[in-house]
Amino acid sequence: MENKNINRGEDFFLSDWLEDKISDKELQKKVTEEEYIAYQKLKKGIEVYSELNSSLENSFKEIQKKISKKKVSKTKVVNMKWAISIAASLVIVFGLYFAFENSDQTIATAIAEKKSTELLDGSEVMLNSKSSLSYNAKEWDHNRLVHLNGEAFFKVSKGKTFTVATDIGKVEVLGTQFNVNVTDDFFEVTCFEGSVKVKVNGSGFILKSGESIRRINGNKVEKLNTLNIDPTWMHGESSFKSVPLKYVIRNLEKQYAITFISKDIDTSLIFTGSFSHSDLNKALTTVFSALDITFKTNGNDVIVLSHRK
Amino acid sequence: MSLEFKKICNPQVFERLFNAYAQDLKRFLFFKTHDLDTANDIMQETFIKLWENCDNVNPEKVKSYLFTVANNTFLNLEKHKKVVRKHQSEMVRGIHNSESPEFLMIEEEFLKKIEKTIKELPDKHREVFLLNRIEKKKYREIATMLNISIKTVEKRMHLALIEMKEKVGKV
Repeated sequence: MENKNINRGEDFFLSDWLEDKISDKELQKKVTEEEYIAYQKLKKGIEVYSELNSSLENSFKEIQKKISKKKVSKTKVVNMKWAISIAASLVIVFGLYFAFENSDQTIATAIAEKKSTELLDGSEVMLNSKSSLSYNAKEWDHNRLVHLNGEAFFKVSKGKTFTVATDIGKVEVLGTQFNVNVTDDFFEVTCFEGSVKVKVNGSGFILKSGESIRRINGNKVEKLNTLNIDPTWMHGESSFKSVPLKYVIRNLEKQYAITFISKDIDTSLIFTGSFSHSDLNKALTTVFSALDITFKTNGNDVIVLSHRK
Repeated sequence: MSLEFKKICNPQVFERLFNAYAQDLKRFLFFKTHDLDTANDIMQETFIKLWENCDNVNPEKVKSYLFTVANNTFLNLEKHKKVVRKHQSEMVRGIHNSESPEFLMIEEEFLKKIEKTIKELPDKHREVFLLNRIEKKKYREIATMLNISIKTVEKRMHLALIEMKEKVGKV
């Protein structure tokens, strides 16, 4: 194939042609007939490529519009439910306001315990086992700030910035749903609705619904995705995606009143999967059998781990 | 795992499913219809059907449900088209068979070649190319973003196209 005038000095006619700055006829004068057809097909192929890879956000909005047109009556019912729940939460907010004015509040959970609580603005928090959350009720009006150690799922009411401060990173939101897990050197934030701003290790990240960010043991920050609509732990199950075994063991210790002796095993093995909060034996089997590790109960709720020989 | 958590009728779950499967579905439909608008229309229709039947569709089988519904919608459309075509003159059909560039068909094989070629472009060329074609940025905007001259942007686009044409090969 011959290339006629492919690059005459500073004439980048192909980029002009792609943006419709020059016509097909002008291109035809600059290249051979064979090349012309090849470029036409390439242009069309590129158009298909970009169309099939572009964001479908608008498409989704169109679908929502079409659906809402069809289902007007159903929406009304939902709105009524909302109205009732807003009214109900107002009652609780006022109640809490008078009960806890002027004080530092701390909510904590023990091993195997989960607690759900409502904050002064109606925001909801569900606290996973062995976690604690504190905030200043007096400052709440100017500063929606909570300190977290452990894991919690937040459903934040719309309003001023809501901040979750932890030892490793900071999470800022306006009104949305997200999960924060911070335990020693493990830090993970998952956004389930709206968007969340995370500051960790000196950099800022914006998470959209379904996205999560994780930093383990001072390593570099990882980005992950989820299809779930809320954290699995709220449904009695802890899930892990490529997490070192060490953290899975720590999690087991939080859900069951047990202690592991893990000096004989490699706790840096990577685990992906989940365990149930309601059946210890099943939980131990799911986690350890896949990694070829055996477990022996040693009385007093101590479990010794060793590699299978 | 609770049931609530996987219900398709939950708007958030529905959106997740859209984000997970819409693009693949549209691609699948494009290679059947060879028309971007039609592919997009059927894709949207399919998701609306999923929503309307969200109580009856097995959450484990959403993907196969979507592709089956989309394929059926496409087949019905074809049936309808065949009927219409019977009533059209030979002349109209003649035009569609012509070699003119507007009627060049993009087959899946060709698109795969394009995708591969884009991946293999030199970083600087690919960056400009994707900003322009995927992010829909004007050459001027790209120049500002990357702190280079517009001429440089144009040159990179030009070279990217030449390289792609060479690699993708003859029609």
